[in-house]
Amino acid sequence: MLILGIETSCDETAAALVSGDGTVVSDAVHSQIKLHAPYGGVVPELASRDHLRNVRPVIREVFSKAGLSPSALSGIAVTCRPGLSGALLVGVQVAKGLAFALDKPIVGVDHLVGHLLAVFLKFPGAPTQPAPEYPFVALLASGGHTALYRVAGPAIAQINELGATRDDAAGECFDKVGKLLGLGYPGGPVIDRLAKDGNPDAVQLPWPMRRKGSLEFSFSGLKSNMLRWVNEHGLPKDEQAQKDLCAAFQRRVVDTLIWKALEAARAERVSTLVLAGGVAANRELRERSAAQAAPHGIRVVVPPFKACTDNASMIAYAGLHRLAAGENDAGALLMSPHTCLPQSTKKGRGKRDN
Amino acid sequence: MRILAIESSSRRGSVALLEGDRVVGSLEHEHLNSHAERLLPFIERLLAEAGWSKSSLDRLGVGIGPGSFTGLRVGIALADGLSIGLDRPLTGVGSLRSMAFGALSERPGPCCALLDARRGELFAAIYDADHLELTAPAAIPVTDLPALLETYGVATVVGEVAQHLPHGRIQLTGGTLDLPHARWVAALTAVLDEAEFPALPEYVRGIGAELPILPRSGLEAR
Repeated sequence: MLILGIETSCDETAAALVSGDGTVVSDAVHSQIKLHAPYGGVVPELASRDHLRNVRPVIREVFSKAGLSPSALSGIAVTCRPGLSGALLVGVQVAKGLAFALDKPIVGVDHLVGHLLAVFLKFPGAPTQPAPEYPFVALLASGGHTALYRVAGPAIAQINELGATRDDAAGECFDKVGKLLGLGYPGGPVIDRLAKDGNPDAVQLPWPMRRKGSLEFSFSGLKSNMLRWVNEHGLPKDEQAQKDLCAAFQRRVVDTLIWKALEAARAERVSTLVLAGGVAANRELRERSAAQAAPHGIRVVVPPFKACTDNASMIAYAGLHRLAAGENDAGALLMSPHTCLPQSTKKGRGKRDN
Repeated sequence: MRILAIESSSRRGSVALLEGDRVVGSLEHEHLNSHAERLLPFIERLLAEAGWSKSSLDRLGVGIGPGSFTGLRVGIALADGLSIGLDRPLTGVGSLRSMAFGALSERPGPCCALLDARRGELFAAIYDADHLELTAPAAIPVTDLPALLETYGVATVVGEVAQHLPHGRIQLTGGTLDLPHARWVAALTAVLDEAEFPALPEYVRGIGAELPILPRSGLEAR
């Protein structure tokens, strides 16, 4: 089997060819980060326009890299939800045109499911780690989403949300704090790098919703506390103070994510915790989660860096199972800005029930 | 030569098949927000009715606006996928150019093609009798129209929005000329070179976001 994956849900235009066992044959990602950076965040219309400009070259690139022609495909998987409407539309329309022209089956993939299954991808030449066994608990943390899931298999019906953020996503919090501290967009990688040499105990920040029993997150309060700190003390005056502030902030986010993820893994009696999404690329999250999980007999599995951030390989893999079962959404496939995974946490409840 | 054309820049979505200079078939709809679900079934039906296989198509054409941003993406992205899958050239045809092309087949030039651009503006472009572009597609205030028509000695105005405007020119608003239609996109696909007319959208307008003033740390962060 050879599946073409197409991903255009936010700010990366991506295509990939993935074989039936999850091996990435070729992949290409066109990132829009530099385009959006001056705006301090993703501008939807700008993103949609850039996807339309780049989707053709990106698809052609994966075929030429692999030395294959589109007729070699068994099927096409495309992100159809959730995301920016105008951005999703580009990928879905291109994919439908391709599938029709080639007489190949096509399936729509929920972007979140793609992230949750990214850990199964095999990259030739990269060191392989034993794949997790179902069921596992997954922490999905990115710029758009932060939630915990019990994953019993690759189908939608086998995935349950255990808790999610009530307000900002973890990655969104990194970006907004990065903006506040004048570190540019996106904030995550810079804060991670600065935090490495900082003292996380130099600044006392509150724990975001750290109470037993709740698997929900809230990061808007931490963001406000950072704003309050800066209003009171001003921006850090020297490099060490900047590093300390980043370290303190990052420690709070990372430890909150780990604490809740481990609580979920124990409650669900699973032995594997999978990290997924762009925030899973965070160095401190990777290191501290493994160390904190070990005493509980829980193994932490993290996909390679390029499988954490938005990519089309994970979309191809997530669509593989339905395509292998002979399913075809054909021309009826439409995009939606919302996920099709059941959601347990209501957004925007803030502190009222806290 | 067999051509398939798609046009979805306005509230009308349409598809047409052209062979030589004969429109073999065309379908259109004007249902709100449904280009994405209707265009592909239209193509399927037209090909079946004409008895054409997909691989018998020689060229593809698509309307590139100006018009609805979403509409443009629906049509152009679909045409992109078809073009890659069929390995056939894809030509981008300006929506105003295609309307003027249709009008000039029965009326004298120069011809000004108009579309409602909302916000008190019109999308306008002017073409002479030989289809040369005298003014590029642009969003202009409605009040600027009379002066524009005067400057270029426009003899014909095309587009449904024209019937609401006082301009005294011979106007065409009926048939498939009131809004962009794939049959005229197909006709131009037959004569325009895809290298010179690529399938890239002509938005004419900006993204509607202004650059913010972001704080700077003052420290070397990168």
